[in-house]
Amino acid sequence: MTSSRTSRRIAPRRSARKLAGLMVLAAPFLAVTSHAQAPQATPSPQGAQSLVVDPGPRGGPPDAGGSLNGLGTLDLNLFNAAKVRFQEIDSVSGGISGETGVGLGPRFNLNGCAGCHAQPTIGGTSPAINPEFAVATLDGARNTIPPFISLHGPVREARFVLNPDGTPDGGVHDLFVITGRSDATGCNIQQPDFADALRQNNVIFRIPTPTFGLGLVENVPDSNLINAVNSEAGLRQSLGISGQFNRSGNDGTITRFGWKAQNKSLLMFAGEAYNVEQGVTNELFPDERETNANCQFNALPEDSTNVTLTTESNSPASDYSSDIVNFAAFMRLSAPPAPAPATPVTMAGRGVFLSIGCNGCHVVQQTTAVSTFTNQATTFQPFSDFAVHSMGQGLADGITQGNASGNQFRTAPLWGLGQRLFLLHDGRTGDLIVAIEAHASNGSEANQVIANFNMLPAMQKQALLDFLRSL
Amino acid sequence: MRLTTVLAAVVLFAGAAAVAAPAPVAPTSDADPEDGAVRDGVYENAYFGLSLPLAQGWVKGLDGPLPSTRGYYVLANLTPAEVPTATMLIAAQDLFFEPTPVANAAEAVQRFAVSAGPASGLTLSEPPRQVMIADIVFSRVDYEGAGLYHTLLATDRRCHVLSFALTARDPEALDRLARSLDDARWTSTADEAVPLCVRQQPAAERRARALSAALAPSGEPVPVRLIIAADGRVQHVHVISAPQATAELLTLTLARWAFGPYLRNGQPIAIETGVTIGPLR
Repeated sequence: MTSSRTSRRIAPRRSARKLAGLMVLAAPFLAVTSHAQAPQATPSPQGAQSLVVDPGPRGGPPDAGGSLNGLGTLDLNLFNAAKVRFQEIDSVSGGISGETGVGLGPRFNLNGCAGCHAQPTIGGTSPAINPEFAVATLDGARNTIPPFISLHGPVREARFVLNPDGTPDGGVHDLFVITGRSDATGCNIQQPDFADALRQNNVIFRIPTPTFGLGLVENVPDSNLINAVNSEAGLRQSLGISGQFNRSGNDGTITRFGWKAQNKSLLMFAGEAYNVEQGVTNELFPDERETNANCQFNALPEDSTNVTLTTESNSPASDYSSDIVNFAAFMRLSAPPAPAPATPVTMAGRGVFLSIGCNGCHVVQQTTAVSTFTNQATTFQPFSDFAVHSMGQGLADGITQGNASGNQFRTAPLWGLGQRLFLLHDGRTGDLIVAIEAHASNGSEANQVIANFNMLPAMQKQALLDFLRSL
Repeated sequence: MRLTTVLAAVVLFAGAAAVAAPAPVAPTSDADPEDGAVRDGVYENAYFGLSLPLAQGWVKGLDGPLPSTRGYYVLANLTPAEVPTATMLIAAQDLFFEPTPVANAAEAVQRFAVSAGPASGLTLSEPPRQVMIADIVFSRVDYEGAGLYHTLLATDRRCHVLSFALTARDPEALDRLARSLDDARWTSTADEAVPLCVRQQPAAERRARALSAALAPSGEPVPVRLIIAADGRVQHVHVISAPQATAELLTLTLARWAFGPYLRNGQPIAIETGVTIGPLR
């Protein structure tokens, strides 16, 4: 994935007339970014309509995608080789030129990690052009595009809330099947009936989470996460915020990856996604989810440790390792997204962020243990407590994962927000204001913070938006 | 209605008078903290023995989340119906289950004040202090930031720190909002209908640990509030936060518990305490 592809922006252009009016109000802030969402009239306490605007995704080169500072040569070699593996394209048995990875399907959402994790660069999140559109009919496949997938919309996975018998489902139902592909002769399975699921309001969506800097997140001791929450106890209790951690059913420690913090480790995160999103069985998830005998083409697991060298990078660790170990290494050794240089406006916006209580959940700073890879503890700014919080009926998806109930979500880390195109767990909007307002609904822990946001004078509101798009 | 009440309401709400001062709600043993509601323009909470009239034009805002595993309750969001110029968040923190417990409301407000320094984007405009509102002792702190003004008021009430977080766009409106609490009516919690708050009941805690070992539950610990009658029987079980099936199981199980009577000055009395059922980590 190249930066030329991912640097495209989908933010709508404002009309010249609106822009002129807006400049009067927000000219000091617009220097931060170059792309803006349509301005929105938000209710002001005085009853007048004040225009504030999401500046939109930040332009320029990606401020993410490199390796973690402080890596030694061998670890850096591993990162670079793992990054190549992350871009591997899978076909059913690896026999198609340019699609040499093995194990796609029988059901899948995409044929490679980097297709979904692409914005603003490899490892990120949903790109401007949805790759699910093209893969639906790649290599002779005959899939139809579900109604909730569009060329310029977010990459989405679909989960069904309930089984036909009314019991909880919650699992991913892949969009596509390998039926019709040139490398899947004899397989004849059908896509899920998404139209019916939509009619029954039984399907919810998730977009890819960015993976930059996740090694730091993985390396935060539970005690540090707990202390970070406890240090904000007074603030949280003045704002209606509580939250809880999701925990591993195996060892009771805090889980922290995924929209509901349902995954314990980056290896688990990679292994689960490889099987669920691409259909590639692996050493963590060795069983095919679709068991139709006519659609099994490979020995299992399709991804495993290489006991002989099959690739020759300059990292033997990468070459011998399975794909999922490489994927995890790429995420673990990647640097966090870098924010834009601070300006007086974004510094003011940071103050607004704190003073209205966003940091009650979006805890600014966390500290790792001493890392095996960098030999140091690192303090970093993910803007998340990595706890799950009740987000109300407006965002609830009805899916329970571990301790996270149907209306609970992990506090989305805000680092890198400035270059994201699609927001919230299902990518329903690209407009920051809409995303902020969606935090408030019956049952949400964020209601008071959003009430504070709504009471802000327009200048402070705009500074906050500019700060967020500087991350 | 008192004259001062009328005047405050007129100034604050552009001529709209507050609802007439209500009769106080008597505390009951089987009410739970989250059972409060706005009825006929009055926020009533039988657990805390609180009746708070809403100023005319004010309504209940969005519902808060369910009670948390830390025993934290968002009881009510109150707000003007039309333009969002101010808010009142009523919340309570159970003293049994907070991982970083405070002894009382004064400590809770002090803790907040310590965290509300410049690094928080907030400035203290008045330090923590004690005030009397409607004959109730509150701890109060005032602070501001980003053009918003806040007052946090907290009082000790039945094993909880009961708090009122007030926010407004100007200090005068905030002050009037704080004074609107003068209209609240509180029932005495000193009478016999209100059990004594006992933070640690060793026999109940031992029983809870044994039950936890037997059930071997996974996930978050489940906080349970118990009211134990003077004769030692469990009179009321309140599973604060748990999946429904777990809550039903625990309610049935814990309702069968009985202990020796709790004695104060040699007399058996009813108590309220908390136990945690959860994974043994």
